[in-house]
Amino acid sequence: MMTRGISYITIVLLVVISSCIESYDPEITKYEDLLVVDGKISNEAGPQKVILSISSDVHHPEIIPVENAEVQIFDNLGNTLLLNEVDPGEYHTDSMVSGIVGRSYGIEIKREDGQTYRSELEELKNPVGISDVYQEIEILEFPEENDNLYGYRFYIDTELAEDKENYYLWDLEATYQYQSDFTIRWYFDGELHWFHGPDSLYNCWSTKKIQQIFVARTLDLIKPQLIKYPFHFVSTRTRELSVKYSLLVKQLSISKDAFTFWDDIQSQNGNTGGLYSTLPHMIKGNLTNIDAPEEPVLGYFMVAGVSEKRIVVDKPLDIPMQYVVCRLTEADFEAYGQMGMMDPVIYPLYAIETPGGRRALPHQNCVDCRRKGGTIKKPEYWID
Amino acid sequence: MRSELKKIYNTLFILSVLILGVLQTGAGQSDILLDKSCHDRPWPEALDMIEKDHQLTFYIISDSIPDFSFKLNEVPMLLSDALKDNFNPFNIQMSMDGKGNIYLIKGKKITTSIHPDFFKELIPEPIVEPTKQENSGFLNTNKVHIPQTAIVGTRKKGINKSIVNVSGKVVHSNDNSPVVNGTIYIKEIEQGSVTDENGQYSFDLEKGSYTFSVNSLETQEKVMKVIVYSDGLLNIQVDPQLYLLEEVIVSSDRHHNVRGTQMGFEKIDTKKIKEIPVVLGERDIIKVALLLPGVQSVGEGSSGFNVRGSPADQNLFYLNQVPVYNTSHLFGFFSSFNADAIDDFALYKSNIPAEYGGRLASIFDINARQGDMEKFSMRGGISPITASFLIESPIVKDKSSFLISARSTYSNWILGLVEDPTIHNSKAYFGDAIANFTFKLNPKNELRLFTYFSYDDASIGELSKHKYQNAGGSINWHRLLNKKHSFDLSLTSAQYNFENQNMEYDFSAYQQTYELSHNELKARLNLRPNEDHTITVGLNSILYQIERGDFLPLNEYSLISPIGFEPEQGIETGINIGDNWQISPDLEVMAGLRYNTYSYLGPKTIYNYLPGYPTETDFITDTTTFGNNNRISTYGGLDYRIAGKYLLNDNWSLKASYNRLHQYIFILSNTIAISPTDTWKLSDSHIKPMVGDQYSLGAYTNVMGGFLEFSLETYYKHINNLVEYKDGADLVVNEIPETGIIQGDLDAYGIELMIRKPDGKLNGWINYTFSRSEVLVDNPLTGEQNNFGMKYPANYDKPHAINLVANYRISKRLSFSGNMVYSTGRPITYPTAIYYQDGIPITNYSLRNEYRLPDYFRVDVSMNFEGNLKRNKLLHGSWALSVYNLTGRKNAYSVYFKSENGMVKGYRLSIFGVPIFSISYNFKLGNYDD
Repeated sequence: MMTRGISYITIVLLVVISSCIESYDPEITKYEDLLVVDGKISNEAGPQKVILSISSDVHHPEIIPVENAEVQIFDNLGNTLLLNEVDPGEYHTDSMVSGIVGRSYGIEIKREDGQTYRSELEELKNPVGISDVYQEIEILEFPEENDNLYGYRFYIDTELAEDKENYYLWDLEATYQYQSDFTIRWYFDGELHWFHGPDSLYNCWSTKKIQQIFVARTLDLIKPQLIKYPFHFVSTRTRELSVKYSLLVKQLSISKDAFTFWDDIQSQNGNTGGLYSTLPHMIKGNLTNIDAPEEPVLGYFMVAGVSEKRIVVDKPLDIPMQYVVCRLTEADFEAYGQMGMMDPVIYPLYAIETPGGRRALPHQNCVDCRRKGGTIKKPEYWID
Repeated sequence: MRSELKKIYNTLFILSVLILGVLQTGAGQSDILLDKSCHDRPWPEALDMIEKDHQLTFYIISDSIPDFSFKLNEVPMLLSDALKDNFNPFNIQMSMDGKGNIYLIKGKKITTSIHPDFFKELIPEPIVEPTKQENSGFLNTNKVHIPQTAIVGTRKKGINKSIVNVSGKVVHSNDNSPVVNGTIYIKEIEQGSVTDENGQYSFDLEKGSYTFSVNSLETQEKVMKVIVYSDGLLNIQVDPQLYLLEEVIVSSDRHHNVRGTQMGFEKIDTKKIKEIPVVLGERDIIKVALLLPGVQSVGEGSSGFNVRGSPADQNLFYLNQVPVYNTSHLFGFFSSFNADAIDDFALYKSNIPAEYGGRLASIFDINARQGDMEKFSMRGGISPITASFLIESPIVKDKSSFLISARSTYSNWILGLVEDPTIHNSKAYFGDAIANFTFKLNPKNELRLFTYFSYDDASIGELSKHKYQNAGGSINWHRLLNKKHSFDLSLTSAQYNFENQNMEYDFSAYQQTYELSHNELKARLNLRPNEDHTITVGLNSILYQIERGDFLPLNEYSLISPIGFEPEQGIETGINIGDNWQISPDLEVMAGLRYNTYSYLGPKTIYNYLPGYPTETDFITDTTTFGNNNRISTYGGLDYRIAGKYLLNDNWSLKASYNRLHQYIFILSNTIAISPTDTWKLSDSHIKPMVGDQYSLGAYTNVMGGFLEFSLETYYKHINNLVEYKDGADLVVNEIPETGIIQGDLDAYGIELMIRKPDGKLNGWINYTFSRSEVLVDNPLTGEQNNFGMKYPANYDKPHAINLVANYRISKRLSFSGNMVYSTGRPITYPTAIYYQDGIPITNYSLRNEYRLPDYFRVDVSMNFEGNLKRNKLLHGSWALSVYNLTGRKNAYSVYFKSENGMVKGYRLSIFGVPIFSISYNFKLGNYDD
């Protein structure tokens, strides 16, 4: 927040002074195959998961698994727990295992080549409750595109924490309902059939993890409670807000070091590289090679106290929906007549009928909501 | 034009001919009578005829004289009278030798009537034996009295002495202002002396006859015979280096490069600034400084600069003794010094005189103009973003004067043109003003009052507001103790403050204030026990008071808890002694010692840390509270300054210097460039003062009689306790700054090659610098490191840099200038790999500053066009047309990376990616040369 105003100055001046931003790919010759640890232990139900991988080239990002490692979680009481490799590079505990609030945990990894890595013990903090999650309409202006972005901004209120210093990381999962643009009347599998239950492929639900990092701390505040802390924004450019939208908020109470790790990553990911932004740096995680402490190890093994809250909200009413909808074209009507000539591999084909009685074969994404990635199974918590 | 009429462009050449060969009593030519044949012809033709008819040769800079018809008022007419009648209106002086050569040289002002004081070369003062003036017969035919011989003292008074003292003051003939750093060279004994800042000089000489040659950057060379009989005062008036137009940088300071003991020293007057191309029509001395060797910046539009591998906070900016803590307007796009009000500036980057201290890298000493003691004048200028005016006038003629100058921006209209709502709703104001008063109380006492003010007020849409101000004033008293010694006392006060508001998010909206005040007392005694020594003894004491201010919630919605930062104060005192010792005619040494003592004072609560552990909140053991003015910690240190010059011959010299300095105040900044939220912080019990050592060696030569000047300097610099920042440290809202700071070492070294052509129609310079600057942060005691304990290049480390500056005068109304800048790109930390955390791709960065931006290259050109040169008019106007970045090269201001669809994409940001045109208009009441 601090530097944005300043980097905006740069932008102000550069717009005035006709500056330009161009795509640029410097030749980066060095990249190191560093060990990456990605995992946590929490008070949530198991299994507790750890993924081991190797960092990849910036132009070809991928997860390169580290297999056949010996991974164990230990606590401050001397207990250890070995994890099993369920998939290449993915190590799990038993599904019954969950962390105990107040205890401290660490991880030890022994790779195939004998290199051993360890983290320091961190305490599993008492999770702080979420008192409310709510949304407000927000309009983001993008004059260059001569367009505004309409949508919801979500806010969180936490409960009053016991400690003065609290560090939060939020893990967000969105589930939304969306609908097909047309109702199916007929289906074709070599022969034409009347489609029973026209609503069955009309409503879908899609779930996705929100790939943004949201962190906060209470240190600077009058009391250790966040009120109306803004985080996720979702626009009407996609169908996410077309019917109903649900947000599952997991609030992780983490250590100060873990917060610093995530905060650094978050601020570096938004780094404009301007002269008023802080210097980016290699962010080391909390594991160390016990034989070669200078070796950088990436990623953080977190110990977190987790609380969660789900909300379901209706679509916003007073702002325009900006997502693209299907419209029937002459080609769709013609396609209906050519159904018989199509490759059976793509059967069944779903067709529609206009109120005037004309039949058409639109793009199947417009009639079968599953084609957009969702499922037709309504989540249990959904309220119509 | 025929070949006999020599066209010589190099004024210096003529001057040197004059000096060396022709100062003899003329014979014969003054008697030449002209007949009617040359009457009413174009002047070149007329002179051609005269050359032929009388076997004479004219030396003249023909292109500086407009076309006119040569006229005779009577027939026959004396040649000298005719030349005078015809050429004097164009400010052409004439000299003749006995060999048939006649020099027509411009030099004096255009004045329709000659000012009574104009030729008053020697000002007798009643306190010592007045000096007689004798006119030789040399030029008496044209009735212009230029005394060529001065007599100091009387035979009677000197009867029992063999060594006598000649001292006095060198002043400008136009306004009697002192000539600073002028050289007086006595040919017969091959010795010279440099005038001090009041124009004073002094020699001990045997009685006899001498030739004095008086030179300085801004004046014409003056050569005079001096007959010395006894002790006496000889004040010398020299003519300013004024041409019909000021387009040419003439600084015929030929001795300076080779003879001066200073090294790593640059002095530039505003004439040079006037010609260098500008961005958006603003002349800027900081931009000019960036064209000098060894001066770098991190990028266009960044505040401050880096001298010889040092961070930007190691430069001390003095504007007439007032320190300026924020030298930029609009976050660094312009400097906060209005070039119109500035006389000259000097940059000391190597051997800093012992009277200065407190910054490791450089002293940037700016002299504001003093008001004209003779007449009122006013001038102004309009550029795309600012308007400025300047008024100067005597208060009591020849006794006191004032100068007031102000500049203000009206740049908001540009922001209003932009559609982006944030920018559209942004505002940026800035302005600055100076006022300078000079009072000559009596011949021995002078009092000067100076004040300075600059402000910035910018709001960036609804996101943030930034206001900052510099304000300061100084009172200087200069007293001549006797003919040889002088005493200066000055009292200075300077303030820098800012107020930032951030309202990007309601819940975290805050405001923050900051104020630094600097109050300084400085006394200096200048002693001249004999002509070989100039001794300076001084004392200064600075009280720093910093209100770190409050960090407050901005409105009722903000959840920010108010933090009241504790103020801090410190006192820095230095005593210094320096001697400039001319050991032999060839060897000169400037040596100085400065003892600094610094105390960090209460009231203050100090955190104590576990010994051997990093200064982090986790390791705080307890606190100690100190009462008001209690000493919390005290540091002391001895600065050594020594520089020597050895003259190999008239045209070659070698110089060497060693410098140690201490610095007790620094900028808290972990961004690449200085930002307006950055604060100055004092050294305290946890943050030790920085210490810098610099060794330099250089060779200097002038070729072709000063036609070209060469210098080659090398340096090595080491800084201890360099203040660096822990990775990702938050310094803005940090109650305990030491938790974000880590101290390290800096090593810098380089070679600077400079070739300068100081004079002529074509003048300018080219320089090449090779330099490196590397930082090491590795504290073995606490285990704290940056960059895993490995050396890394400083943010402004640019190994290769070339600057070319050229000015070309086409005619007296039209001139062109251009510059070219090349440097290696600044270091940058690039993303080198991607990894995943919880499904989110994350960028891993290289080691610190492991990569570099693409090389930087820029060409700027400008054209200056003067209004007509009629003698009597109300207003003289001039236009300046500039193109910045002529080639439109998209120099990288920064390269940054964004994660898009899981891929890291690189972007290059250029600020001035196209040629930027600007035009500005300047005017002045009265004629140009006034």
